[in-house]
Amino acid sequence: MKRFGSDRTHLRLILCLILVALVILTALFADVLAPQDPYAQDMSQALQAPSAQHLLGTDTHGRDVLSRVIAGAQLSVFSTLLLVAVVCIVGSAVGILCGWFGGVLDTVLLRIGDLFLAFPGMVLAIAVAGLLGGGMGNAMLALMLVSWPKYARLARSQTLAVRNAPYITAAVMAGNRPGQLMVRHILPNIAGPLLVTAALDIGTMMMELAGLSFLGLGAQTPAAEWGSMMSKGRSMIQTAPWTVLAPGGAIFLTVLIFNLLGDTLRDYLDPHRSRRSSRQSRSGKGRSLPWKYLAVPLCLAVILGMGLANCGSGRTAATAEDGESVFRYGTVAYGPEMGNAGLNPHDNYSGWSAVRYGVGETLFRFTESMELEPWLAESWQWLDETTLEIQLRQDVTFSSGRRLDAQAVKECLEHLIAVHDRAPGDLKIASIAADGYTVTITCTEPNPALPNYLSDPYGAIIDMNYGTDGVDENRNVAGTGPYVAYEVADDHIYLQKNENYWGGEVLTDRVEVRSITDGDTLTMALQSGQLDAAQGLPYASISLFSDSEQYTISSADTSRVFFGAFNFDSPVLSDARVRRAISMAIDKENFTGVLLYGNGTPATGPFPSSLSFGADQVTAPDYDPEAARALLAEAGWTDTDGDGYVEKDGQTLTVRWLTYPGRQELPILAEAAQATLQEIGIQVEVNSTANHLAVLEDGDWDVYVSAFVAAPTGDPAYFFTTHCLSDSVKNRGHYESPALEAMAKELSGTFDTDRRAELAVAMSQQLLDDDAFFFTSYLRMNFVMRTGVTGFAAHPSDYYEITAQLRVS
Amino acid sequence: MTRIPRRGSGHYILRRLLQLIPLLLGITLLTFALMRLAAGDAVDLLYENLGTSVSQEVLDARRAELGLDQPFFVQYGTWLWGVVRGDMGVSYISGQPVFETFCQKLPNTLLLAGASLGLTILIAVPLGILSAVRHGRWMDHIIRVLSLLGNSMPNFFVALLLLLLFAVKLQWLPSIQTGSGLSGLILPSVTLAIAMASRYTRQVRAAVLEELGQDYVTGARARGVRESAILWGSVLKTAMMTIITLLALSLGSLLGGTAIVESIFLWDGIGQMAVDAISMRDYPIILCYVMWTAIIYVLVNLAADLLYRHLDPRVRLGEEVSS
Repeated sequence: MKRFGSDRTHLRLILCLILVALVILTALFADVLAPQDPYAQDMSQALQAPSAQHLLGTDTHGRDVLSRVIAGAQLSVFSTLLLVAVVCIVGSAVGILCGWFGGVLDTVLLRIGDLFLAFPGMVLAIAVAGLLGGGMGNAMLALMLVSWPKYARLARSQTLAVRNAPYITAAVMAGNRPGQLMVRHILPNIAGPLLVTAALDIGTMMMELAGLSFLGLGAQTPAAEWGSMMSKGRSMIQTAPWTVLAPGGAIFLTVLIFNLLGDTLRDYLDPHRSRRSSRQSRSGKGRSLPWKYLAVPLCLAVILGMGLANCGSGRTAATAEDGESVFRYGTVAYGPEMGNAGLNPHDNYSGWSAVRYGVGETLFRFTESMELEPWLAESWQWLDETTLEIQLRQDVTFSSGRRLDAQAVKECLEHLIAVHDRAPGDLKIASIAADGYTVTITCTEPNPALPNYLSDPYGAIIDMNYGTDGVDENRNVAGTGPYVAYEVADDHIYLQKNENYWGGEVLTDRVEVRSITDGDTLTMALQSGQLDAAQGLPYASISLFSDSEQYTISSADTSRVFFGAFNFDSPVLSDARVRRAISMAIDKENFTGVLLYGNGTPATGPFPSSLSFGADQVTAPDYDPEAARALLAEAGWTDTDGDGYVEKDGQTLTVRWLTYPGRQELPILAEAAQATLQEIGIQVEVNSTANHLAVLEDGDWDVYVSAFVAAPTGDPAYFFTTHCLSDSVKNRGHYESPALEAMAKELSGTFDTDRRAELAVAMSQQLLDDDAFFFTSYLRMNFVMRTGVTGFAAHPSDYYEITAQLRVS
Repeated sequence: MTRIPRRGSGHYILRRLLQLIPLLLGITLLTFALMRLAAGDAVDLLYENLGTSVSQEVLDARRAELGLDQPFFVQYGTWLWGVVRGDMGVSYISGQPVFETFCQKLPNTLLLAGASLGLTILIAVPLGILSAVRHGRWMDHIIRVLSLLGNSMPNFFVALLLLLLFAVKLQWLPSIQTGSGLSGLILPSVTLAIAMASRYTRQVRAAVLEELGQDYVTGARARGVRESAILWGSVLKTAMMTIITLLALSLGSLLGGTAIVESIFLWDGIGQMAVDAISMRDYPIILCYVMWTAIIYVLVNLAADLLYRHLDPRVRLGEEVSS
């Protein structure tokens, strides 16, 4: 009876199999076992600590974590098993073919295998996700492509080893065809090592899949998958640790069980090993061990570890030397991905960095209510509809030593419109005249927003005589601001104070700006005292600092608005009542209050209330599921078959919700809307993908939810010209309104600020009355700083961060 | 021990290196095709990131500038011709020369790879040997359980736990690298070493056990040779072969950069560079990265085979070393 293994391995194998069976049964009957619906949201129950009602607590959407972990078992375990099975079968088949036939087939297949083995799995995963849209299936496909060659190589070498064995020769002579031979004679003889490898691979593959989901390349919202649950809970590891520890523990336990199985299976199927181990345990007993030899490397390890740890204690030295004051600032908003690396205002978005970090200044600047005030300019006036005259301050010098005069401004702006991509279209400049400290700009057409656009960071004035076209070989520029850079790189900018700043004394000696794109790393760097302030912390982390006296927070509502556009080409949405019902079923209060932890303001129109033409002057439908249901019924959509979803002519009302994961708030909003729309009987299919632009073009969507800075320069026309007119680039839903077009035309020729605001309000209201868009919330920007940092405040424009008033004590 | 005949090995190495050429051609063409098929390009993503809008003309002009409006084979040909002349192009996103960017980040990856591999060897080799020698006893069990646990933890989980404990709670170590000094190296290399050391402890143990079970060991024991002499004189020498091959292969994966760990610890290496480049569709950087991983793959395999040959003269060069 007992052919393999010792009694103990036999017992261990049975134990492992029972454990594996338990895991698989959990996965199989996840629906029954989960105490609650893993997808049912309840905002009032968000982020509850583990209790009798929720054994593992709840997540941000108020869903039961235990139920999600159990449901996740289904996805994680079965996809891993399928993945390993496919890879093992395909790989082995290729390997056996190669090993048996040899020759050209062998070489070609091996080379192809090499190609995939040498291919970085992640590149493939992203490319596949790009081709087919993200999702668990695609993550699996990518892992399959890179892992089959391992099995092919193993099967091939095993086949080569048995090919000349006498029993194979015998089988050949018995007249077996190659197919029969491979399946009946070779496969059974080489299956052992393949099975062991596969069993040991299950754990690894499970972690790889979770890793891809963790990076956002695998399972998509709202799927309960362990990797993506961890990725979402990650920023809450300090505030709500159960949201990370529960799925993390589940991965750990499951991988552990499959690893145990692999280990035991290997011992069990390897007759040599058991023989050897029994012999070993008999003969090796009682021998003295070479402990002293082993002690050497162990001691070395300890010494090295202590040495490294000692290096660590020297870190506080960077804080302050010779009493100079240093401000260390971490931000998620700097770097090549943002298009703003470097300081050259004429390159892409780098002007934002120049202005934000106190190097460059523009002619005018925005007040807290996004109105213009003079900065490098002293005053300005329109001479006629196309001519703007600007008087400059006379006490400003560039850090290069040159005085700022009209000629310097003219040189800078002329270069800007010659090389920049957006500036020429915004500014519409025909010519610039310089006379002493007076700059006169003539436009090609009436351009009332010209002063606003000149205040865009690309309008920062730099000395064009400095370096080559204003930029030296170290990527530095000569600006007029309170700080001068001394080191500019893709991931940091180091600055020192401008001793000759025109605006008074600069209060801090040095500023170190570091790009830290990972929100959790940023959180921990601030907590561990490596930073004095941070911008872009995950919402979940902010509560760590808001309750503490050691930190202060400065917030501002920006004009970045989260909003949805309806697709007017979609048949179900052609009825305005359906569009309105959808708008009425989005719970903005809970989205900003609970899901964003209060870091946002519910929106009505495109612009925040801080603007003179803002949200407080328009009305949008309120959250009202009852009225929404009634509206749907009025439009002929009712739940006739009792499945919870409304139908008309036998067709369920399904809305394809397109969004992208690039902004952390968007997938959260999609998940929340999915739940609230379900309440009124609308089925929502969420597609959150980095390839949303392609989907937009294909037209396979009903609602497109995105984030957009609606009034970056305080200009009311900008949002409408980019999103709402028939010739707008971003009018994805093909919304058309003659009334809106007429008002837009009037706005483009209106110079009076009050009239412009009036028009903008009327146009915003038009969008809402036509149910063309719904506006969910405005982004609140937070700067978290160590208490003791002053003069550092968030600004609604998102342009101004480091100023002369910054002080660190 | 006989040395590898000089001419033979030179010829062999050359032949293996020549195989790089078709591999590089294939892999870059495949990358090009995949990236081309994937929707969205660098221009779309760059402008989308800031949530502002530009006109179609600006987008088209930018595409023309980067050559993205050219047909597929023209793009590939242009790129290939550049590489042949030693010009890897400039990044679409940062505008910096690709090769320069790569060379800036490589030392960081090398440092992290070296440190974590060193740490792995320091942990795995002694523990593996100890475990094998003490086979079946409590020390063995403890080590096996620890390695099993370490091997079942996803590295992003380990990284988060370590950060939380050592950087936030105890504040002993920095969570990110600042200034000079090696203190920022500790947490990322420990994170990587935990999983690798767990895996290699098991493999070192298995390799040593395999050798201990050989008949020559029984023979030596029967002749009364001291256990330590058997272990250090013969067993470890042979077992080292397997161990070195495994370590060489893992060095390969480390040199490809470790995206997750690099991103969590803000380690400015090529793994992080690759993730950023992929998410921004920065083709020149992606191609550079893919070529690097392919070269590493071939070189590391070659080095493993040569080492194998050096340690075991029975293996003839050119034969497949089963992995």
